[in-house]
Order: sequence, then structure tokens, then C-alpha cells
Amino acid sequence: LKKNILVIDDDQAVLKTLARTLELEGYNVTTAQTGREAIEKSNSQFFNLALIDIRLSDIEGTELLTKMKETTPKMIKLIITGYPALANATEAINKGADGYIVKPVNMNKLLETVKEHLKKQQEATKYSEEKVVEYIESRAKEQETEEAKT
Amino acid sequence: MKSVRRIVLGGQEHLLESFIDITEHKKLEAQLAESQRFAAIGETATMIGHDLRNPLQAITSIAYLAKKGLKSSKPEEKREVEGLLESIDEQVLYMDKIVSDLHDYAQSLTPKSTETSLPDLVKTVLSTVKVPTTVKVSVEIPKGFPNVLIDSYLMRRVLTNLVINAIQAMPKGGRLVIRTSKKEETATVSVQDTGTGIPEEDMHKLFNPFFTTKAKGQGLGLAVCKRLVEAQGGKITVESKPGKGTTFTTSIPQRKNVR
Repeated sequence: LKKNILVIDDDQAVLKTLARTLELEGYNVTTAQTGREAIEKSNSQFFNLALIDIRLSDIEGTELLTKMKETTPKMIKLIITGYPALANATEAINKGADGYIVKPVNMNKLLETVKEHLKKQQEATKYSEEKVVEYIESRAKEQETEEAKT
Repeated sequence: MKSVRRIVLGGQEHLLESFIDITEHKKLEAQLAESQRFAAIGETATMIGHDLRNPLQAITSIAYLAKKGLKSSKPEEKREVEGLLESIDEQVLYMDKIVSDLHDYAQSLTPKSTETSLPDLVKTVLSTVKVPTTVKVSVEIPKGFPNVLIDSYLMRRVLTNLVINAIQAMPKGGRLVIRTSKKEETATVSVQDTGTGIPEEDMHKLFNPFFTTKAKGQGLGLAVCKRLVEAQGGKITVESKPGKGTTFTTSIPQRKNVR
């Protein structure tokens, strides 16, 4: 199943080229140029991962993280910034970012980071599914034992 | 630091001369000025760094896509590479603007006014700026418009910045109008857009260096325009209505009649 990625950046050239690179890797890519557009799109569709520029025209990327955390807790959020600073990196992590990437990033490295995060997400989903199955099975067994007793 | 006072002691007049050693004070003042200079350099470097990293990111991505496209045997992918390589020019122009703005803001200016054809200058400016198809451009210059006395290099920079700003103010398209006029001893050029307009509270800060409402850009464009226009003895004014658009007008005094 193709993974869905949301790319958020106010710079059109960056947005277009990042989106194309990810598409060529086989991802379904949606783009947003503003924070508002990103919130709207993430509310109407599930994204496995979002690449979020830290400075947008209508909202700071870190603020967007807080807003998106409430509605899309399972989406991986990677901050991508040309404005690297300890202060905004700390803020980003505290507000729920899963990664912090500094522009200009080597595209192979970016793709590798995206792939690693998506793999971890898939493993976590698989693990929680297994846990659910395990729980259901154990509950079923318990019930069977109770029924046998009565 | 030395001070001299006249005093009377026991009926006799004396001169009291006192000295305060302010070497340490001066040293501290110099240190403060130096640290303020470093802080300003640091702030500027951070902003420029940020602005340059976006086009650098675009070029990095373009290079990656181009390499990938060249390996492909599909003709449509080869065509995509051509398009991508052309967009490198845009990124280079943008980076050049960042560096030029900073240079124009920091360098000392000695304008050299020469007879210049404004229609030609406007044409040159429009040929170097990428105008989106959604923006309609009109140039309103009366026929037989006389040559004007301006520093053509400085005015080209001013008009380029104003045209770029106008285009950026119309993300959904609109109309860009460039007008020239010559009244008495002043040549004026105005750049009008039908864009978002400027909020009242931002009007007085517009020409301040590093003031920007955009996520992209270090806020030097208009400060540079003001500096370049004033260096020629002229002035730049702005009229704006939020939601309707903005007009920037530059007026350059003409020291002698030029034809």
C-alpha cells in the first residue's frame, strides 16, 4: 500500500521539487503552501508523514505542530528548516516533532530518513495490531474456560 | 577627562584642576559597540543564511531529479530534466538578489546620473523578472517620453525590487502597471499592483531594514529602494489600500533639462 506524505513549505520551488522526488520513490504526495492549507488537508485525509517547513507565511511551523498533534497524533512530523537554531529545534521536539532536518539536505539522506521513520511506524502499527489480536485471543480463551467451568 | 574650576580659599583665588581616568570607561564603550556590531552581523548572517538555504535546497533537489531523469530512457522524463534545469536560473537570480540587496544596503553610494531612456529601462527590468501568466502587465509611458537624468544602475535595482514585490503581492494574479511622468523638474516612475495591500499598522515600518511580513525574504528590498532613490536626491512614497492594492512612486529631481 502506498504511503501518504504531506509536504508543507511556502517556497514553491522547494515544495515542487521535494514533492516530485518523493513521488518518484513511490509515495502519494500532497502539498500545502500555508499552515491553514496543511491543517485542512490533514483533517480530510490520513497522512503517514509530514515534512513541515518551520517558517510559513501564516503560522510558525512549531505552532502548526501543536495544532496537528491534536488532530493527527499518529502522523510522523519531520521539521525541515533553513533556519537552524537550538531554540527552535528544542521547541520543535517539545511540541511533538519526530525529526529535524536542515536545508539544504542531501536528497538521498532525506529519502533514507523518511523511509526509516515510515518503517518504524509500520512496525509500531504491526506491533499494536499483534497486541490487539493477542488480547482478543487471551480473552476468548478465558471465556472458553469460564464457560467450561459452568 | 579634565575639568578646571575657579575657587576662592582664604581670600585667594585658585584654579582647581581635576582629572578622571576614563580609560576603562572608553574601553567598555568600545567593547559594547563591538558586541553590538557582532550581534547585528550575527542577526544578518542568520537571516541571509535562511534565505539562501531555500534556493540551495531547490537546486539540490533539482540536481537529484535531473540525475535521475538523465538515467531514464523515457522521452517525457528527459523533457522534465530540461524544465528543471531552466528553473535553476530562477533560483540563481533569487540568490543574486539576496546578495545584491545586502551589498546595496551596505556599500557607500556615489550615484552617477546619466541620460537614460525610461522605456528601455522598464523593458530591461521586465525582461529579467519572471512574471507569472496570471499577472497582466501594462506599461503606460507617453509617446516621445524624454530621456531623464538618473543613475540607471541604481534605478534598475529599485524598479526590479518594486516589480518583484508587486508580483509577490498578487499570488492569485492581478494587474501590474508601470507609469512614468515628468513634471517640472522631477521624473517619476510608479509601480502599481492590485494585490493584497499593506495593513495600516505596517505602513510606517515598510522602509525599515529587516522589516518583512513575508516568510521568505530578509526585508531589505524596500530599505534598499529608499536608500538608492535618496542617494539620487529623490524620494519614494507609497499608497496602499488593504485588499485593493499598492502603488510605490519614486521621484528623482532633474538637475538640468535633458532631451
